[in-house]
Amino acid sequence: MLYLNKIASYLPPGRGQVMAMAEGLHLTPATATLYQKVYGLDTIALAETETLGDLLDQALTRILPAEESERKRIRYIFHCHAAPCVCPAGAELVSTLQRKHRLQHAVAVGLAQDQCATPLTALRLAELLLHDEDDDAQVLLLTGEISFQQRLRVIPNTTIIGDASAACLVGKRGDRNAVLTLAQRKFEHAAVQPTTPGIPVPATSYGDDLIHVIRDALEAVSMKIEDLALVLVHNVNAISWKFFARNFPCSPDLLYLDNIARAGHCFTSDPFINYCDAVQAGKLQPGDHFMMVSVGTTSTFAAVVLRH
Amino acid sequence: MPMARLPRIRIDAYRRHSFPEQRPVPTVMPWLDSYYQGMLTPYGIQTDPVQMASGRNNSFLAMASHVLKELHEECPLTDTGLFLMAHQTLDTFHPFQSTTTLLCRAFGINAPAVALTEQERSTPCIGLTVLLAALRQPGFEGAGLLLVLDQATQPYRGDWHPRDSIDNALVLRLKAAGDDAGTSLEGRRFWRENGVADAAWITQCIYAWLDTARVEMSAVDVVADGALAASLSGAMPAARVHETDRRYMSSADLVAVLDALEAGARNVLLTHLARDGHLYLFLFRQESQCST
Repeated sequence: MLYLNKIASYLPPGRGQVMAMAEGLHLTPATATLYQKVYGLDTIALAETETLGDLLDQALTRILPAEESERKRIRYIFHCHAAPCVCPAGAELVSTLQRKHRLQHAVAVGLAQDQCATPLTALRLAELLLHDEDDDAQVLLLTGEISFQQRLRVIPNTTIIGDASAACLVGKRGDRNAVLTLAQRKFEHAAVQPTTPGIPVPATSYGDDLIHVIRDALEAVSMKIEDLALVLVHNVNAISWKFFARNFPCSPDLLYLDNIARAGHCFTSDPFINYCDAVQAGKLQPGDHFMMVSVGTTSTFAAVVLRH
Repeated sequence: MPMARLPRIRIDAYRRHSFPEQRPVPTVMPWLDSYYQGMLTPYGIQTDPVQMASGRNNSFLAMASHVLKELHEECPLTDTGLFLMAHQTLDTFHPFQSTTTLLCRAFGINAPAVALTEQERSTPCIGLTVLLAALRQPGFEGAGLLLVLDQATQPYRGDWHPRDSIDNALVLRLKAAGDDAGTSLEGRRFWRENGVADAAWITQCIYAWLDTARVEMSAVDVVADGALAASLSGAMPAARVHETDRRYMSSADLVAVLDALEAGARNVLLTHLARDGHLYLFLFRQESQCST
């Protein structure tokens, strides 16, 4: 069994209001209003001066233990990102941070292709690699991404992207956030639009696929959705989650939607940002069961059931 | 205490292909150049439209589909239990495309599929490490696929890969296969606490590991990258050392290994020193004719 032993997140201080950003995002005022009023997006987290390396550094600073011996337990660092590449070949993105934080002993690698679901599906790789390691060994999941181009901030008819980072220490032993199951699926019929308009958008079957993967996860642990204290959603938009609540069906109160208006959809970091804020808000108590859900726009859906 | 016997991992099949032909530049978003500019600026790199216009334009999907189709004709891919794609370059004209998703859909692969990147030519070694760990676990079912590929049409001029790099894809299908004949694979990673990975330490690691594997150095063909190959030749005169061809980018190590196996080498030791100081050793042992 895996445990998410420690989770940290970082939102850069920059913020943009959706209506004020509309022109730069090539959105008409009417469309911007739709994103705000219907999709529930209001304030977007922006890295105005920070680089991607800066964001990752902030997440690392917040999560790394001070003791050298505890850092040594980190055997692998997975830099999980939504875009297939976030730096040129040969760039020392994570390795620079490894030197700064004395993590050279760990093997670092970028993980991608499941888009925003990558940090959740990465748990499978973490489990495989930790199997042969000491009980104290840990895998560090590092998420963080920046929209390098304003056009990339908008997934048409879906969401507006924010900039953020997060980190999560995963181990075989722990006293919190036990991973009870991970369900993941690549749905055959999901849409992929590689060149026009350039950014893949979710398929029309998105709602059904989401229900399927969440049912998969709950069935694997013989639970009902009412057994969960909270579902930590991805922050793509509020309306799709309200539809989910109606169609699953479940109480809308189960869904943690607060950060949709506060930060926007922050690529791979959403589940961890939401976890940190939900804990801070007292919405998770020891022993509570909860779920993290994320979706990659080209069809990877992932749901994880945990015990806090 | 006696060690539990681990299942042997074998190369069940493989395919590789280089793509020298020129393909037309695909239709792309008009803002692609500014997207890359945003990505490259923190590294002091400027985009160079000439580089993009003069490339061979082989997409990851096209190259991967070619080698997977050939592999699929030899063996089913539907029993894949884990699919890893390793690369270092950008898929320049398709920066948001999930190649693994499209491949899973095309070849009926229903397994976790993820790409490994950002570690240059070490990425395939990390991929092999993950697959070996997976295939040795009792509960793991199916085969492991490692797809390694890169393409040289980049949006910038850089020294990080050779100018005459070869667009190329390679796929290995690995299985836990009892004691059947074939090419077996085992591997180990070494790390030195002081971070100094000099020739003496590397040689010591190699001899120690070969000793536990009960293989004589004289019976081994060693594959290594440029400077490391030179230093190993000097330090291990009994070894036949093959230098990798860096033009193959991420695939360079495995291309050299497969070349040696196809040339009849019985034991091939892939020696890879990552830029971060981690030393990867993989021993490929050929007990019968390798699938080609």
